[in-house]
Amino acid sequence: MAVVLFFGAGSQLYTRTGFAGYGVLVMGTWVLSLLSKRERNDFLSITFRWPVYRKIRLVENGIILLPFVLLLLFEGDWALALVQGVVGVAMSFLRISSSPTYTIPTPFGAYPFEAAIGFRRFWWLIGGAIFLLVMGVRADNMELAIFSYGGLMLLYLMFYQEPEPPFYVWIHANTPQQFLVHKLTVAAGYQFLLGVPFLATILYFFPGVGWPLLIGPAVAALNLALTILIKYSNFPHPLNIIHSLALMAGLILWPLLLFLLPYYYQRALPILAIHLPGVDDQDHTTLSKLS
Amino acid sequence: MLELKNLHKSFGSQSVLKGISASFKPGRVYGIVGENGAGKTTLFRCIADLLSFEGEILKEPADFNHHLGFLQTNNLLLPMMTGREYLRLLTRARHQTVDDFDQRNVFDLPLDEYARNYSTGMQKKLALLGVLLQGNQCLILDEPFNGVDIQSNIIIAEIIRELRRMGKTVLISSHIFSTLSDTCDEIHLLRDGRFVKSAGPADFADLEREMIRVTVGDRVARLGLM
Repeated sequence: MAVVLFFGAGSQLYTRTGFAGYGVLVMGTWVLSLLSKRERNDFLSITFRWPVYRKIRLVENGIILLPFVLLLLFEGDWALALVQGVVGVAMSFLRISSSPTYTIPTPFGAYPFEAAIGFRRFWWLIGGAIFLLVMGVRADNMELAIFSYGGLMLLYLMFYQEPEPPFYVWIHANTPQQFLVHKLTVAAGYQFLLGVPFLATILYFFPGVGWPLLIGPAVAALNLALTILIKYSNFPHPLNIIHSLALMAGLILWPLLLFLLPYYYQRALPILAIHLPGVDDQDHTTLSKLS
Repeated sequence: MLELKNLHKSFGSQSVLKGISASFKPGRVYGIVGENGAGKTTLFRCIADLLSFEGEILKEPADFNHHLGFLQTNNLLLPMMTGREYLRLLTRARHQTVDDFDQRNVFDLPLDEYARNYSTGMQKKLALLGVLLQGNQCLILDEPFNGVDIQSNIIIAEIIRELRRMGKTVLISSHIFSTLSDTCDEIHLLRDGRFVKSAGPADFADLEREMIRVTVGDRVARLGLM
C-alpha cells in the first residue's frame, strides 16, 4: 500500500512539474538526515564494533534510498539517481547534532517556537530552495522559481506537524478558540515573512507570472491552517495515516479545504479544552471523565 | 485558594494517590516530602489538570489555572530553542509583556544559547525563571533545588520567601528536608499515597526525626559496615 502510494505520488509530481526529480532528491536526503542524528549514531557506534556499525549505516541508508532511486530511474532521471546514491553513501558517515552549539539566528524569535525551531532544523533545505530560486532566475525559468517557492511552503508545513509536549499547550491562558486563532495568526504571519523574498523575486524577474503569485500564498496559508488544525485534533499524538491522507488531499484537491478546515477545527476544540483547563471547566469531575 | 478533597489517582491497577485532602492558602509556603514514588509529582500534575483524577479540587478564582505556574521535574525543553525564546514563550502564553530578560536573568544564564545544551541545573533555573516571570499567583515547584548549585539554592530560597511576602501560594517538593524547613510554613509527609503527617514550623524537628526513623529503620545496621 505504502509502495503504491509512494510511486503514485511520485508519478503525480512528475506530471505536474519538470523539476520533480529535484523534489524527490530533496525528500530522499531529508529522510536520510533522520537516520544521521548524532544521538542515534553515537548509540549505534558504541553498541556495535566499527565495521558492523559502518555496514548497518550503509545498509539502512540503502534500504531507505531504494524507492527514491527506483523512482528516479523509472522516470529516467539517471544523473539524479546517481547523485542520490552518492548522497546516501556520504550521509552514512555524517552525524547531525540535534542541538548544535552555534545558535542559528532567525527572524522568528518574537513568537516562539515552531517557526524558529523549524528554520534552525531545516536551514539547509531552505538554502536548497534559495539555490533553486537563483537557478530559476539565472536560467530564466519561471517554473523552477515557482517550484522553489512551493517547496519552501511545503517545508514550512513540516515545522508544524510534530506535536509538542502537552505542557507547551497547558501554559497558555487562553480558551481553545483563542489558542487556535493565535497559533494560526502567528504561523501565517511567519509563513508570509518566509515567502515574501521568494514572491518578490519571482514578481520582479517574471512580471508575467499571473495567477500563481496570488493563488500560491493563499493555498499555502490554507494548508498551513489545515496542518495545525489536524495536529491539535489528535493532540498530543502524532499524525496517523488518515491525517496524512487528509493533508495530501488538501494539497492536491484545494476545494476539499472548504470541508476539511471546519471539520478539523471542530475536532480540535474539545481536544484542546482538555489540555487548556481554564475558566470554563471548573467541574473537574467532568474533566476527569473527558481525560 | 486551593483545596483538595479526597483526591484519588490510579494508573491501571496501581493506586498512587489514596484520598488526599488539604487546603492551601495565599501567602503561605507548603512543602510536600516523601520518598521517590510516593506520589508527589502525580499530586502536582493532578492539581495542574495535567492528569485526570477522582475526587475534587476546588480552585479560586475561576481562572485559577491561568495564574498557576508549574516547575516540573523534567524540564521538557524543546531542541534548538534558546533560553530567551523559552522565557518569551512562557511569558507571552500568560499575556505578560517582559522585555528586559537580561535584567531579570538573576541566574546569569546564557539566554542566547540553546536551552537543551544547558546543564541540568541551568535548565532547572531557566524553567524556574520562566515560571516566576509569568507573574503567577500560585506556584508549584517540583524539586526546585535538584541539581542546582549552592549559590542558586540560596537565591531560590530567598525568592520563595519573597513570594510568600507577596501573598502567593507556593507548593514545593524536595528530597532535602532542610531546604523545606528553611522556607515552608507547613510540611506534609506523603507516604503510600496519603498525607500521613502534617507539621508547622514548631514540629518540623519532630517530623524530620519521624522521617529518619521510618526511612532509615535498620537499613544502616543491615549493611554491616566495619
